Amino acid sequence: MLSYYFKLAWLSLRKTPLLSVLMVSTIALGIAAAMVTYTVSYMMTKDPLPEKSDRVFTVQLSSWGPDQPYLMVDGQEEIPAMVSYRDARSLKAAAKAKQETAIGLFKIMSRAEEQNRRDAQMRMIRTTHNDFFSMFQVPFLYGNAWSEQDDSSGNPVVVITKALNDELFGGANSVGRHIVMGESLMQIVGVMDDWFPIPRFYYLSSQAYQDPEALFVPLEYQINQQIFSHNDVTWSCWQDVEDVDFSVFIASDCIWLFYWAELESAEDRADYMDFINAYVDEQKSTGRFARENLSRLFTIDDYLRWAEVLSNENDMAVWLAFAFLLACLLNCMSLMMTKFYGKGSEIGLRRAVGASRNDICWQFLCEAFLIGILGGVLGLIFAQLGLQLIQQIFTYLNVTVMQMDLNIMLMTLILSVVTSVLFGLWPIYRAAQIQPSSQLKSL
Amino acid sequence: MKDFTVILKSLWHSKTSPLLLVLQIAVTFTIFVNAVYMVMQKHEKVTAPSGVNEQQVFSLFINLQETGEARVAEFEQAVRDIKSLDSVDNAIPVTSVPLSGFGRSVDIGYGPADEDKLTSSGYYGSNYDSLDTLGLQLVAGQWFERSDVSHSFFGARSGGKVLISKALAQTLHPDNWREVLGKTLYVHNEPQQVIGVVDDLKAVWSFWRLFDHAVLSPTFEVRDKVGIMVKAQAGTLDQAILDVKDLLLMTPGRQIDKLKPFTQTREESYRTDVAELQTLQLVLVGLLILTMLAIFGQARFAILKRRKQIGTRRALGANQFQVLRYYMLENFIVTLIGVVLGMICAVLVNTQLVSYFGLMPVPADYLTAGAVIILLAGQCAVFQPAWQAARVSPALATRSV
Repeated sequence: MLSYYFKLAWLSLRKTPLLSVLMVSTIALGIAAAMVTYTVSYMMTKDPLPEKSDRVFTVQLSSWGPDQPYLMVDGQEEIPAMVSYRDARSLKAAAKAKQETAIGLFKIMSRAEEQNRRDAQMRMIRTTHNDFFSMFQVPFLYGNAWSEQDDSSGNPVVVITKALNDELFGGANSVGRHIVMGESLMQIVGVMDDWFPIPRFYYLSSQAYQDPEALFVPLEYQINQQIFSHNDVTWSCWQDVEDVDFSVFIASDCIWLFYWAELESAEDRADYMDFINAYVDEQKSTGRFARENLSRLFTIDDYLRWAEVLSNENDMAVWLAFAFLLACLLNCMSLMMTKFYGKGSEIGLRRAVGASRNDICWQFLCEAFLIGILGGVLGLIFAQLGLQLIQQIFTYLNVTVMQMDLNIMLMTLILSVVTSVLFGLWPIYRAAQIQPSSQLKSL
Repeated sequence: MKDFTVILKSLWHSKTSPLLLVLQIAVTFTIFVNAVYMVMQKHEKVTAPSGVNEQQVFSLFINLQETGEARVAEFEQAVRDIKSLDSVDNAIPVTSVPLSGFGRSVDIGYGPADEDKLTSSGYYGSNYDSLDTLGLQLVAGQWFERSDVSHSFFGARSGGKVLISKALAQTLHPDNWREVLGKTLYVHNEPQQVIGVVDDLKAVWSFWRLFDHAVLSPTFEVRDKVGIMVKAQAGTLDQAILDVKDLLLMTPGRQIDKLKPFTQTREESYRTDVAELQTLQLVLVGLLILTMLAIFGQARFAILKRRKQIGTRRALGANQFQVLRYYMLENFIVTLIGVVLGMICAVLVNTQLVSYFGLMPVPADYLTAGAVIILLAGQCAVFQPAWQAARVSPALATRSV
């Protein structure tokens, strides 16, 4: 019976092409608008490291000076998100977590060894430990992360992104070749495959939607070379460190590193926190950490919420878009009314020859369903166009933010079908109320 | 006008669907007018001149490796070297690049104390050549003397001379901005004599409320990292950029950062605004299409329902033009009610926007223009269904009686 109704529905749509196109395109427009905003919002706020989200933590320490709090927020003392090199080194040396890494940044001129001096570019360089790559599941195209040995000695080794490898080496396997960084020769040990964690959670929240830096080097390399780009990176001190020597700066309480740790399981969180508290107490006993201990562990989600990367602002656009969808659906509903009203005589005839109200309902439900499917498919096409347009507009956002995954595509279709059937219910009910006799006269 | 009362009566008779349409038009109008106004404002903002000679200028930052007085000499030599290149017309040291997003704001007032502060302004330190290099327009007073130029580690020294932007002068003296000439202005709590006014010089943040305010001092700052702006010879911008890079990299340990043409600086500065502008435009187009679809569908519905009534009218002697006019007029009335309701909403919403987001109130022109556009859109959308109605044959009425 259903296939018969679908055939009827198809015929009916064909019979009034203009009205059908109107209904389908109104739904498609609304669905596309809603799903484009939803896609961007969903992709921008999804979990960047789903397998580990409950056991990867950033460590924040109450390491600020005795005179005043780091920051007051609504009358509450707030501690910094970053840690000093001194603390990062101690935590790393204690090795209480399964994997852990400090994360810093500096800026320097870099080029491939083969390139001319004048082709050198100023680039930000990410400094970190080798655990970074395994902990954050960085895929490698060629080679690997650097070794423990490279980490501890601060060897001149570098991991580069696929994009930089394409730019400098035309996409060839560049492992073993060299990059000139400042005046030093760095050996490439690994080339990352495409990796765009969104949001980019592991460093400053203001950079959450930027692509990863092109070059990664061991933190100890930066320390050995005594490079600190104080004009170009975020750092903060409670002591006065104007014009101090690099070694003094590094030994100070100045904060400029993020510290991330991965535990064996989420249950180890309390143990690790105990370790952090014990560390703070130990430091207090040596005269550091003069403030009350507010140290804490943040999961990726905690951190992103605290840093207001995940806020309700994105939801606003989504709500607006769904309001637009609602307007489209209401519009489509009145079109369906038109449609079914126009079929009054047909309904009357069908009722007169024995179709029950139920049959009529099923027939028009099939039609609404068909409209929903068509609207959904067209909406998907519109949405792809819309996302393409948005990519043109927001060129500074990573394109992966503006791509639908399979789930969202399925959701688009389902949303379209469900809403058009739902909004078809009232017109269908009205259609089913038509009396067999009322329309027969006019035939 | 006979139609008019008939239409009102018939609308009153079947209220629901016209009411839905009225509401939709009102909502559309509200969003439409406010969005169009935002689009216009944004458009004006992103196309406004920067005051800088945009086609010929580029900027860069370099490191200085010497210390003390030798560092000043190193900086001056670097600027001289750049100026001596064939593809380069002129070059200046700068504390920051207009529109670049990195720079300084200073307090401005006629006294040294905090309570003397009148406003704030962007601050640039440079040298004598900045008038020519940036292509500024001096509209009052005079330019610096070569002897006015000095250097510092940070900021202008007490008792120096400054030039200010016309917008800043107008803020200080709304009645006659020329009065600012010769006055002693406290810039960042240091007294400075205002010797001239330049037409257009912006601060570094395009989103700043006081973006138009700028102070220019003949004091360049010598630190470990310094900015340079270069004016290329006409038509040689790309060559000049390469030449400058080649030249500077002949010094070992030299670092070059943020080397980019001013057009790029400008583009990056307005990136978010342009994105918002384009999104808003998309929204507007979508809204307009939706409303036209709604009017179109609504009209078809109404006409389908009244085919027999139309037939009767035709049979009773109404010609096609009269039928067409009837439905166009009906749509006009419904849209008009929607627009009037929308105007009230638009003004209400706008006052909220003004008080919450500091937006400008929508001028009356926009309301009128918006109303005309929506009414026209409605007439366009209703024309086809009305035309169909006009072609309903009189026989239709007689058949079923």
